[in-house]
Amino acid sequence: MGPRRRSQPEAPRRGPASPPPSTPRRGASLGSPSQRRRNVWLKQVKMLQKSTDLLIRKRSFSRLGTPSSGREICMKFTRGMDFNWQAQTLLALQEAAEAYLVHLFEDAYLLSLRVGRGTLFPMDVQLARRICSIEEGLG
Amino acid sequence: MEGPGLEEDALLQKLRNSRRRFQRRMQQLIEKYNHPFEDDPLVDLATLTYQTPQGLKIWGGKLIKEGSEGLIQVFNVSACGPSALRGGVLVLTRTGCCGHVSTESPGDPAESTPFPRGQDPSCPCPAHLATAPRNDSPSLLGTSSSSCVSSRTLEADDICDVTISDLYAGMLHSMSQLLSRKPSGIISTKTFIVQSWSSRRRHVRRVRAPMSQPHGAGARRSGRERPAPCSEPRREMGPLRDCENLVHVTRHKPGLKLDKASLAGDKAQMLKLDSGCQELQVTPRKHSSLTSLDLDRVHRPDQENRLMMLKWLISPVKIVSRPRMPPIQSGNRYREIEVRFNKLHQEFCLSPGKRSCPDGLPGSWAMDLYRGGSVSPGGLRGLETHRWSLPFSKAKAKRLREAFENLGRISVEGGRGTPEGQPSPSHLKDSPSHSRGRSWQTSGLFQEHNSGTFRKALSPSQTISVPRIEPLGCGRNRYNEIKEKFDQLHQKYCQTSPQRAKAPAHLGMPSGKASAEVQLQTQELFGKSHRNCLFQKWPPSPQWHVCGPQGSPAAEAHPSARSAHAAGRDPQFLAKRRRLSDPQVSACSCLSPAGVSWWPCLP
Repeated sequence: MGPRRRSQPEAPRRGPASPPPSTPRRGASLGSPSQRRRNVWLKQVKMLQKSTDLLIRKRSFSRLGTPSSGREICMKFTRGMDFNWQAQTLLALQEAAEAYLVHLFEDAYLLSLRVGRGTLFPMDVQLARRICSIEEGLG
Repeated sequence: MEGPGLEEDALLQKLRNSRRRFQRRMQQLIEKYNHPFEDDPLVDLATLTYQTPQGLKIWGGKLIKEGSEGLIQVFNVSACGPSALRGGVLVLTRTGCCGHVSTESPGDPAESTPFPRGQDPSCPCPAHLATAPRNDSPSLLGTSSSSCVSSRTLEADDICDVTISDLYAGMLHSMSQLLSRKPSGIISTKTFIVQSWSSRRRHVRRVRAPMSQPHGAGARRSGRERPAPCSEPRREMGPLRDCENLVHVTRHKPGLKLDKASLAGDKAQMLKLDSGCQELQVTPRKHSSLTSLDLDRVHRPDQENRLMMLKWLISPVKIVSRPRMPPIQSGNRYREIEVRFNKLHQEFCLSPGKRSCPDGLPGSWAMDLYRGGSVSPGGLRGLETHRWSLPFSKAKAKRLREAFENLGRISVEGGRGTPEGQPSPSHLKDSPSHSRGRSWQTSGLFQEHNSGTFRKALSPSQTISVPRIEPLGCGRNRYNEIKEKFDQLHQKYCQTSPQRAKAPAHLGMPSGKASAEVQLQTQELFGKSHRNCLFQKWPPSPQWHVCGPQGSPAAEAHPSARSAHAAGRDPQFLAKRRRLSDPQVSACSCLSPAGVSWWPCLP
């Protein structure tokens, strides 16, 4: 995926804008760490949105088809046979999965922002899945 | 109210945009992966490993095996608490040791934890671990995938790592063990025979076969075996080209525990040997070693000898130098033979009373040839040629001696012994391959003969040696040279002392008989070109026809007159071989077989 356009604010705002630094407030010591954490998150988000590499570990993702997990994917598509998969197959699956997850998280975050929250809750993800399901036009 | 509507529209619009982006992204992925990847590595989902040129690698991890290392089985940690998705891998080596391999990439922030908390790293397998059984890999191989299954490939790599040098050592070891169970005398290898002969010579020496005994194989048995039937050796001493003879013989040996199977197996070896060497020369010796073997009692060669033998078997073309040859025994044997030969030679040479001592004839053929052969052990340590004397049967030695004696007698009668004749024997002595030269000489001398027995007697000395390198023409040339020299000397001798030729007429039986043989030999030896002078100048007649033990002078005189007349009448006729109908030849045929059995009377 290419770099995403920022149609939303970069970071969710929890509350009103922080007071100017001229007026030191109580908890300014706490603010600076929070500001630092915020800055860290912002940087991380920017970095991830710029990159195009896979975000999930390949081994972790490929274990979804291993016997330990019941060979769900393998058994589902190979009808019970144990196959060796090509590396590109696993990569293709992973890219597709990541793209879908990103899309899902985007929609869920929009819904959470719609209600004025900045934190993504599971109900947001469920709502997004309902709205963006196949029946709703995902394909 | 329009606000929420607008917001919903905005929301919907954003959702539609997101969906479009997602669809666009999926289209790109489909286009990217919608073609075959032929050289793509295959990942075994059971172990999540795939083969690379560097070695076996974990999918999404690092190299776990380079080349041929120990087999590592990778087990997945199904649900081990918080580390379920951390990429921790429980690894079991072939030995069963547990270990944890960090399979995460270096840049991965989610590094693998050593072990799930609460787990003992030393425990072989947690209960909740779902281990991948090894037999899963063959099932994976049932697929058409070309990727190496880890266990299977690792095993194959282990097997492929074995080199021929490793196998060779193990093969030698196993064969030596196998041979230790079987009688080692079955395998008729030259190395073994020679080496074992020396150790058994002590037993053999106790049995001194008389000279009259034709078959040395029976004589060379140990004292305990001597009472064995004599017919068997004689049967054996026949053309032992067929290994079945050996089987038949050895079965009857009480002391030998030879299996037919082993003999049959060795038969192949013997045949192989025969292909390279001459059969007859090998088999008699083989037989002698077999007959003289008392495998239950005789001390076997040690492991080193077996290994040498095995090495020779494996590479029969290779010339195996004898590592150990007790010099004392070989030297003793040679000395013994030399002493006896000298004694006999002196006996026959001195009895006429006018013949010079063999020692005074340095160029004497027989002596020098024989001595040249007897000196061989010192010069042939590295060769197998000196083995001719060791397993040489007494009968053959006797025959050889007689032949040399006759040759010596010829030289004595012909007045040979010029220095010209010396270089060759001395050269034989000095040269490291003098045995070969000697053998060539003898072969050149008797090459024209079809006396198979005599050749048999001689050939062991030759054929056991290193395969002839000199071409046959060299022997022939040598033979021609010797022939010419002999003719010259003979002419000279006959011219100078014609009376001396008559002296042998009064010899007793042995000398006369030997001289008769000599006559036959000379006829055969020196071809048509020299036959004229030979029979003209040489007064063989007095010696010619001594058939009976008494050798009456009348009989001598009569043939002499007849032969002289025949010589004067037709040199060509005399140059030819005498026919069997010829009384002289027929008289020779009545000679005792002990003396001339090996020298058939030719038509």
